[in-house]
Amino acid sequence: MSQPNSSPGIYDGLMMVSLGAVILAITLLVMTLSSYS
Amino acid sequence: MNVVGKMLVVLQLCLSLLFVCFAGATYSLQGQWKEKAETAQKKFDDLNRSSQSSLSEHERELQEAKTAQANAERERDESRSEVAAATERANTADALLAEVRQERDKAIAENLLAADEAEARRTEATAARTQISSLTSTLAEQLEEIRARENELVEAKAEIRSYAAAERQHLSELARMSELLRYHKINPNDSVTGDVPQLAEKVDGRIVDRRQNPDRTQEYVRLTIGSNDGLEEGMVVFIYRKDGYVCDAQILEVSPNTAAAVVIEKTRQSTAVKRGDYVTTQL
Repeated sequence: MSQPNSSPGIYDGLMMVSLGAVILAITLLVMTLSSYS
Repeated sequence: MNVVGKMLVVLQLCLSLLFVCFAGATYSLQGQWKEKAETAQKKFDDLNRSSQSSLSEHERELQEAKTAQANAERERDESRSEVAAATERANTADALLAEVRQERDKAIAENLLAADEAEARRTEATAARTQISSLTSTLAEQLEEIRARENELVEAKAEIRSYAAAERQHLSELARMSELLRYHKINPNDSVTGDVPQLAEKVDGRIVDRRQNPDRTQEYVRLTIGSNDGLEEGMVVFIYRKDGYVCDAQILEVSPNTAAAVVIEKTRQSTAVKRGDYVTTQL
């Protein structure tokens, strides 16, 4: 059973932002490494 | 969501942002890194080429150095051989120099001997000059003496001429005396009776003949002088020849120009009388 939360959507958003940031970072790294191949 | 989950979500967000920043920085700066890497690679290639060229240059210089070393060693060997030859020539020259010095010393010694001999010859020449001077003075004295003797000879000849004149005068006187004896009927050739006087003057003659009696105990000789020369019977004359006295002989018979005599055997020397022997009345 979930506990009542004052702003449960903020943390989900933060997690999504984090996920998006990770995906972006990985994409940038892949693009960087692809230029040295 | 509890507090820990929230904190983890916030931490995850922070880390995600940091990771995004890192990836963005990497993506934005990788171009410069590539250029730097290419530049570095180019520099590396340049350096490698330069090192290769330097290495080849070094090898070439090393080869040249080896060639130069070989040439230097060959020149060194040639120089050593030349030095050995020069040393041998120097030794030969030293030997020749020693011989030349020895010959020089020998020549100096010979010169010294020659100088001594020349000095001796000079001394002898001086003595000879002195002797020549003395002989010259002696010769001058002897020439003076010869002149004096010549003067004496001239005087003696003049005296002989005066004696010859006196002899001619005496002969004329003798002829006059003979004429005077004939005038008084006296033969000048007759012998004087009594003791026979010895000849006062010296008369010389030769043996013209010789004979022996059959018994060969007496030897008779004939002379070239007679009573005209003053010989008388019984006189004793002397027979000689160039090599000396031979014997005595006694006059047996006298004629005006010849006379006969007998050899006195006790006075005979070892040689016999010969024709041509000399006869004299006084020795």
